Amino acid sequence: MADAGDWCLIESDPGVFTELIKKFNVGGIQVEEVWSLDSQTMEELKHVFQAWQPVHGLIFLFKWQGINGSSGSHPDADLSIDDTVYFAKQVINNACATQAILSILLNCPSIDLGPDLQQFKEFTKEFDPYYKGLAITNSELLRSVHNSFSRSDPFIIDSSESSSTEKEDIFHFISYVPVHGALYELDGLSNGPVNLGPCTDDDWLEKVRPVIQERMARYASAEIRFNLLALIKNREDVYRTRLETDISLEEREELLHKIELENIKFKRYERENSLRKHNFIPLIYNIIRVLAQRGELDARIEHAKKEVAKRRK
Amino acid sequence: PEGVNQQSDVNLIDVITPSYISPLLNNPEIASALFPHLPSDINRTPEELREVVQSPQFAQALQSLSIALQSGQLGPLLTQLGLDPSAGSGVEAFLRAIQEQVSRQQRNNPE
Repeated sequence: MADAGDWCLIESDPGVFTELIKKFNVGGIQVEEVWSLDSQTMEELKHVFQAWQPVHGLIFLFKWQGINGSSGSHPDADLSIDDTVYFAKQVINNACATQAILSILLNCPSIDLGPDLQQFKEFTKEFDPYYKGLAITNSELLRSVHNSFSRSDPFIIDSSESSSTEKEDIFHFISYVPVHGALYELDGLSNGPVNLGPCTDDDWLEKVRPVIQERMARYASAEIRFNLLALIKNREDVYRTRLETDISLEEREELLHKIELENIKFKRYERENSLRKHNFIPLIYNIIRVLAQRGELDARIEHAKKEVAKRRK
Repeated sequence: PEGVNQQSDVNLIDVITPSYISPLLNNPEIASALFPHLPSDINRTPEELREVVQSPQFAQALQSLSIALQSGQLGPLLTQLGLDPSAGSGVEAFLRAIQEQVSRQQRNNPE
């Protein structure tokens, strides 16, 4: 059973990340997936970012299957403790989603952190990166919100044993965030924050693109899947503020339509999150019972055996 | 490759496929037997039920239950479901044990 130190593995999904942030009592933030990651669509990416302004930070995730690989720590990691940047070492693996989010939230003065994270930041600000990481791991609020995304299956698969049946996915994340006029790369497995050079809130996305492209090129040969998420202002709030200004009827209608689409998206997130947390074993068991009662289960087992044989070919 | 994994076990994903299950959900008796096992915030309609069994989250649950059954770690769960612990030696054993349980119940309570 889960002891105090356990953090569950959660999906790197915009709906999950958005709800996590909300449950940390941080208001007005949502997470969007950045789709266009290929080099030929970097120009499109620019337009996406422009539409989302301001973007508070980016989370670059990668995931590969198979042998343990090192994260490729940045050689230029700045070991000196930098007061301007909140940097926490990643102490345990599964906390990575929460840690990636915090790397941005705690470095962005324009975000209203809410009482809990504000207090956490105050409390831990003098800690060194290792103790900051430890404080994240030990925070009851952070852990309980994070773990609320675990599926409520009545069993926990020991990863060391399950690795023989199915390879575990290995995730790693890197956050990019502008802090006090400089672009930083925050990688919890690195020794410190990496200063990538000066930037402004307006041009930091321009400056981060080649960095991410370079990262992707470095891992291109390995079997790695990338994911890029952006922390942005809650879209509905942005649209509603705009609605209160003097705008054309046409724009008004467009904004109302966009708000409706946001509402639909959030309803979908809610539903997906509720399915993520659900214990499906009773449903599965009862479906199997239905098949057994109808005398169809034997045929289904035979069918499944054929499917397994097919995949082995 | 052979040798590593001699016994071929089945995967629940191939047993409970959406295309096979969906038509069954039009049967009101079947649908209402399954409604109590949906998440509480999901409407009790055949359409919603169909969407749930088609969702990636449900597929994920089938996958992880299959893995757990293959790893033989599910003793307490099997007892909860009223199955013999031997049902935990794989997916097929689990399915056969449920068939046995249902057949026994049908013999004891003929309709």
